[in-house]
Amino acid sequence: MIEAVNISKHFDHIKAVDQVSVSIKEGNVFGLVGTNGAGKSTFIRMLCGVLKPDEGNIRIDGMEVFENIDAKELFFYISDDQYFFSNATPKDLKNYYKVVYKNFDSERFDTLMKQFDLDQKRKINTFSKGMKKQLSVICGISANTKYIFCDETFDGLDPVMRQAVKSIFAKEMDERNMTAIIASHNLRELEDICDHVGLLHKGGILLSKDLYDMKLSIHKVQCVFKEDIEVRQIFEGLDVLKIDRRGSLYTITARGTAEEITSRIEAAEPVFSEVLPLTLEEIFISETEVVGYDIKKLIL
Amino acid sequence: MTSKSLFFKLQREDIKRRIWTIALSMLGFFILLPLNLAMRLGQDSLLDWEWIQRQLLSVLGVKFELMFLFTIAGAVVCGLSGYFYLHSRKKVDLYHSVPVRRETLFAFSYLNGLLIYLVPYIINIILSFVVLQFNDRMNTKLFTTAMSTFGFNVLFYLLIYTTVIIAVMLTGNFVISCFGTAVLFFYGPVLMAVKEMFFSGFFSTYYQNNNVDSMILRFLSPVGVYFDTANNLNQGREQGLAIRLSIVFIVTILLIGLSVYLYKKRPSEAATHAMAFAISKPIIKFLLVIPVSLGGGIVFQQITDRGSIGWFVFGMIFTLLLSYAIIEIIYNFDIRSAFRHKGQLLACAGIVAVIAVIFHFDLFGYDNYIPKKDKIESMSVAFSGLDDNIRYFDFETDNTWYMNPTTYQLKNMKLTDMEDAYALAKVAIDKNIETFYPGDAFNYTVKYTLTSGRKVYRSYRLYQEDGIRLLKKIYDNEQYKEGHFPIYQWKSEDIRAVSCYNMLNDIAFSLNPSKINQLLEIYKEELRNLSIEDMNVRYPIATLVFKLGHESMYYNVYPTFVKTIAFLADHGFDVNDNVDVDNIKEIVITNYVTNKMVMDKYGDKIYRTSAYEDLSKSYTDKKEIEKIYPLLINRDYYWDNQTIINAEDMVEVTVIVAVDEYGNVNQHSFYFEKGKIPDFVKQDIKYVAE
Repeated sequence: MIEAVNISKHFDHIKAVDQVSVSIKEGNVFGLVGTNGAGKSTFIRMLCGVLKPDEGNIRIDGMEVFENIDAKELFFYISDDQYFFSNATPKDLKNYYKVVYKNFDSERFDTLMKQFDLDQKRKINTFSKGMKKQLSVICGISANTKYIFCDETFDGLDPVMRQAVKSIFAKEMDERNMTAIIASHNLRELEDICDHVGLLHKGGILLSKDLYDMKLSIHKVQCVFKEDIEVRQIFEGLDVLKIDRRGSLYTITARGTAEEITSRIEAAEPVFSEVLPLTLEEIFISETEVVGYDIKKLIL
Repeated sequence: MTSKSLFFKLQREDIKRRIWTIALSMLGFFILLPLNLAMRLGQDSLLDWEWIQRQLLSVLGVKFELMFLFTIAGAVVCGLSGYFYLHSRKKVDLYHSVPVRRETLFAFSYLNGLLIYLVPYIINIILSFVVLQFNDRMNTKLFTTAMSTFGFNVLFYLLIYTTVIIAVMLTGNFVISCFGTAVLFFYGPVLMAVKEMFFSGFFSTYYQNNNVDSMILRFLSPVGVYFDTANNLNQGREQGLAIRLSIVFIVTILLIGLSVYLYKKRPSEAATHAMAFAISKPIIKFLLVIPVSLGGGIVFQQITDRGSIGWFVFGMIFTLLLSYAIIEIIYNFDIRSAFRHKGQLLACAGIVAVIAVIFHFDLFGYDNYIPKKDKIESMSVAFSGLDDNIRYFDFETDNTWYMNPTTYQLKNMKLTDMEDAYALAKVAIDKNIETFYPGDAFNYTVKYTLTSGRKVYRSYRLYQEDGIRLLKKIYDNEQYKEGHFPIYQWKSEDIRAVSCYNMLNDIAFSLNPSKINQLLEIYKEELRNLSIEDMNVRYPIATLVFKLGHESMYYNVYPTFVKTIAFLADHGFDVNDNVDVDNIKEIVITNYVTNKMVMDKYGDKIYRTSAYEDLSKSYTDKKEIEKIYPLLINRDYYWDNQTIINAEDMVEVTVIVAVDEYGNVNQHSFYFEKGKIPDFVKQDIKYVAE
């Protein structure tokens, strides 16, 4: 488990991270979203002990992370602009990480390299941006660490590779309970992989919630009624976030359990009704509205 | 996996990425050592072995300047390349996120930087030995020289390499690291040079040690200490070498400790910033701006008009603003930040102003300072323009036959009977002659050795009439003589040969050691009793030449040296057989016009060379020669003793002496005694008094 308590970081007079507290459970994928400059990278660099927080503390499995080798052995960090040694090949990189990470799995590395169709003997500086990202992920997975920290890792991957990486992550989580912390400025990237999402804005955390919980408490329903009715009356007592009408088709977003909402609609005897899945973006729109922000101005 | 094996594995991985430095190191050492030796041995057939041996020793020993430069360049390259990942955010993200302690990261990189120098050096020394052996020239001296030089170079490589690493640790950008390295290399010498300029520029009694270049060079500069120590070794000055090398070793260890500490404390976010530690910014700014501004002031003053306070003030303000702005721009990478932190700018200006005022008005009374008599243990006095024929050398070295006369005397003289020397210093302070070359004045330097052990040095100037009485008394002091004449330090067995000459004769004696010792003792005894009055002659009646090593030491024989004269006579040298009116064939007098000489506002003589004329007159008439010759002073004797002899040095007299019955001649140069040019000569040469 990773626990960050009231951590802050300043660069000269700029407050990069301000009093952020987050708790990340094992086996989860924690999505860290926010605009450029929101403090995502600074937060992750503090998580992996590159930066020392000015205030607060970060513990990984109960251990302070800064300058603590035992804690650092538990994670692999893929930065937004990963460094590869000059003139090095993936094989050189494998050799380096083998030295650094006790449990580095060379076979897994070789397998994944083949799977991604990357040449181990080719110089990394001839790789495309996407290939370098793939290589970083392969190194991170092969390091066999309990946690993996990814900063904008999906940026630059084509959709096929993005899905491939996501499935590898899913497999690792399934097989060895790996925990991933993924920072991104793009909500859609995290949509189908995150269990928990933290939203950073101007160095502070706006909200940090379980995606499942969020999904349970907000729903979108499409329905057609026999005659014109006052929809708000149907949902009296519930928090209706949005009502969209196209002809006789209503799309309603409201807070409450699925049973609560469907029972209200059934009571109005609709011609047709269906509960639709909400996108992460839609959930965030509603959640951030609660705390007084317009999500569209913060992230995509 | 043990931490030890992790260390070596990381070291191996690191070295793989530094192959280019290994290749450079290998190539450099190969060219400098085995290839260089082989090329020099190629000349073997043309030159003698002793010369070749010297050449080989100069390659393998501490005389090889290229090796020093290569060592310094290697230290800079390895220091910068080993740690410049700290200047890149993405590299820092990698190195500082992996489960490796910072101490380990530091250590393997440090060790690799050393090995990159060490291993190619060793390999090429071995190759050099192979080359020497192949040419049948290998010997123990070459081996020991190569090995001791290896140790010497490695020690200084470590010192310089660690200094470069400290510069990298303190900065966050490659270019700034290079600046930082230059600052750490040369800050001390620049500081020392500014101090010297201020003291010599503002204090008329400041004694500028003749060894000032070496002092400046070695002050807080690893590169300077390297060159200075090598230079000392070259000149055979090994005294204090062990202590100096031990200090270098200890300082290196301390600097390594400091580097590790800085590495641990260095924030990762310092990458790409100018300075790694915010706290160091104002400190470094003050340490740079203040001496640079002071130095700027004095440089402006000196390159424009020596006395101008206006240029001095302008120079300080200009350099202050410029250096402050440059540092702020570097700190912030923004030209608009040139004058940020105005409080600090004002503080720098305030400190600079205070220091300048202290020096300009001598607020601490440097020039008037004289230690209290009861606090002085001994004094040393060195007069310039007195016995300048004496050659000085350092007895602690075995191959340098020169030492500055003042340095020697201040080092070797201990006047415990110092009433006269003290009084002479007080007179100079009271008279306070500020110009450096006043007419008819003499310069002298005093060292006060205080009871506390502290040594105080001052240089004074006095007009002859104000100081000659006390000078004479000091000259009579035996302790003065013993510190003034190096002959009192000699052992008779050091003297290889003795000869004697005057203007007419030159004899090399055949003396056994006992006779040499006898002559030495007689001469020393009579020299001890020599007074300034005794020296008031037109020329010494003879000059003894003592051969020490390959060098000749010249000591005058005066008419009062009765026993010495007798000894010389007993061994075939008659001092009375000298130039006199009878054997003078001709006297040529040349007047280098003096009325074109003026004094500038600093008291210096300026000769209007554009108006230069030379008026010569030859005299062959015996009667005229009889009138002229007794008024002449030997030119060399005058130049060696200007403090006590006055002469008309713008009127040169050449005396042509017949030396044999074949008409062969010798020429000797003279001047007239001051104010004693005969009237007929004055007319002939159109002499006009100064």
